[in-house]
Amino acid sequence: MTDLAMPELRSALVDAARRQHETMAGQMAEPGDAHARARRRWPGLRALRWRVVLVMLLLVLVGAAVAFASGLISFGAPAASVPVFANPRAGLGRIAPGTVRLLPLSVPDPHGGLPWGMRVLSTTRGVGCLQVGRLLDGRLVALGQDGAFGNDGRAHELPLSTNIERLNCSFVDGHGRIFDSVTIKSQVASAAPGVHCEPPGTYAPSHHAAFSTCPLADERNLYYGTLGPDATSLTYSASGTSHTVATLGADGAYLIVTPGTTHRYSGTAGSRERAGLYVSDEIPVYSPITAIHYRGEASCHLVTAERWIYGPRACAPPLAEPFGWIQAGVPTHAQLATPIHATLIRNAEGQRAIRVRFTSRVAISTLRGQYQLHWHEPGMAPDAYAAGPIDQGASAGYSGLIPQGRNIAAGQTLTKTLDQNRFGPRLAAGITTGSVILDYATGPLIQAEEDTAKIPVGTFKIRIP
Amino acid sequence: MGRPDYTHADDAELLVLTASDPEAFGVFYERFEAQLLGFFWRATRRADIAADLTAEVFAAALESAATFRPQSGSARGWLFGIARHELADTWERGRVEDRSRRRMQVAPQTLTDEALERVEELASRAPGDALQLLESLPEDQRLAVNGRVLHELEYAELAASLSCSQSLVRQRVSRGLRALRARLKEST
Repeated sequence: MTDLAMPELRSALVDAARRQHETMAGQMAEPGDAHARARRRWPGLRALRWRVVLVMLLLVLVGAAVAFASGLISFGAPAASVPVFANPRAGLGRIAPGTVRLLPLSVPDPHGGLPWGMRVLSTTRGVGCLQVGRLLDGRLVALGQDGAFGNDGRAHELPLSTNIERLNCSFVDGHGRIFDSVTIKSQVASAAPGVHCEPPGTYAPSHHAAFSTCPLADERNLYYGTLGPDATSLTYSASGTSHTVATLGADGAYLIVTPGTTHRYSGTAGSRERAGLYVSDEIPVYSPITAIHYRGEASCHLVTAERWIYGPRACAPPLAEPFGWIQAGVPTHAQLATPIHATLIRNAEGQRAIRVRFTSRVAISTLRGQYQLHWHEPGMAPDAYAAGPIDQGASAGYSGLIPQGRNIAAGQTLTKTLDQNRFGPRLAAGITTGSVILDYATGPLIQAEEDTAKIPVGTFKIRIP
Repeated sequence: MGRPDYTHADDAELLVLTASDPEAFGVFYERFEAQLLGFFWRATRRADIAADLTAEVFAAALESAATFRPQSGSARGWLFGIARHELADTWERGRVEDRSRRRMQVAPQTLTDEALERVEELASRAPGDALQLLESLPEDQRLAVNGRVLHELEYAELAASLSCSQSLVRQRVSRGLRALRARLKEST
């Protein structure tokens, strides 16, 4: 262990991680354990008792195969729900009524068994999400295999609110449509959230032991998304052959499932390649899709499927936004402009503080918009500034990369208190200036700085004696 | 069975592995403890607050590890995103939150004077001489190095705040650090 200042904190965190892991263990067996058990069984096959075990195992497998083939697979307990849609007015928001749709897609699995399907949903805060899984009786499920659900062979319904890995979200456009494309390589065939294992040979021998491995036959590559109402078909290559398939309806939906392929990571140097294994963007990247065809003979030819170019800029010729994208209304400075009041106060500890206060003239009811305070303190370089969100202290926990701002009503007064500068415990004497800005996402991607409009709201200036 | 060797696992892999092996998060903690303490110490100049904030950020990171997605950015950037968020919250509320620690049942850490000294020592390892030399850099390089190294900003954030391209920011950081190294050599 390295030289730590707080080794007890490390222990406490590992204990907390262990508790979290044990909570999940009721539903999921570790993939590595399952395969280790399988490996350990081989030497014992010479003994009679192992023959009996083998026969029983074969019977179970045959039974499971028959059950899968005949649709007799039974349902087990639903997969664990994760509260990502807990608050209708904060974070991603709550699932909007009537927006959950299981798309009429049923894609065969390359190794047989239940087909794959996809559903879409939208939330109260302007976000749309895609979810994929295996299909059974019109439900999206994960299977008790590949180490998931104790390998019980049952189907476990995927809840709408599930692990973010199984739920890819982006901003909807001005007409409420989702433009999102997802590439997942090394997806276990069970479609179980939170189960990770990679084919043998994925990692260099030096750190192979740290990762779960599973047979290549247990892996799938998934490419899915919604390309918008103008998309009509796409072309992809598989096994050296080019295929053009129609996209589905007004969503422009597609779902391609191919057998798993081997990848090679090389430690930290492999991060970039690893990133290519799970990518979501406005159009397909890191995928075998070579072209998207739209109405009116327009098309997007992907420059190269295996090179990282952001969003529709990967098209030739490059696009600013995907075909069919309708920009949602962005508030203007004229709509937002309001006086910003800055006053010198004493905080609870008796220290001087600046209280910045303003009244929002418009309602912000989407994850797209968040007020930011920029300020410049004495001693800072002329063009430098500090910045922080103004969310009424509403951060209801930090959920991964999902910002946690809340809805703001028109006429609501917002405040932010600055009671120490960036480099020391007290406010510096002199003039502090600042501005309130509304950050407003204009594209589909959440937290994409290049697609964020910054609309000025107002400024303030205050002298600290 | 011995402890897995995570020496070659990158930061993102450690977060992904946390779901199956709690020890992976311990290694993640080891990699970032000093950096986070330094970040908070530079912002607050208080070892106790820096330690408190560091504990809360790691608890929040553990709580959210399952939602981390490597394609959305680096694990380091993700962690420091949480850190900046907690720091902003602390400034706004005038106290360090303990919500994540309570939810994750991470007991409050009792810090002795010795431990606090250790925090300061680790946190202040950013060379003071270099901080002084930083002031001597040209303005554009000083702002870029300050934002990238002292405030742990991602290049994209830095480019946005300095109103220039990411490649220009990278160039300024690179030139600034090269100049600092040269001047540190001259001064020793």
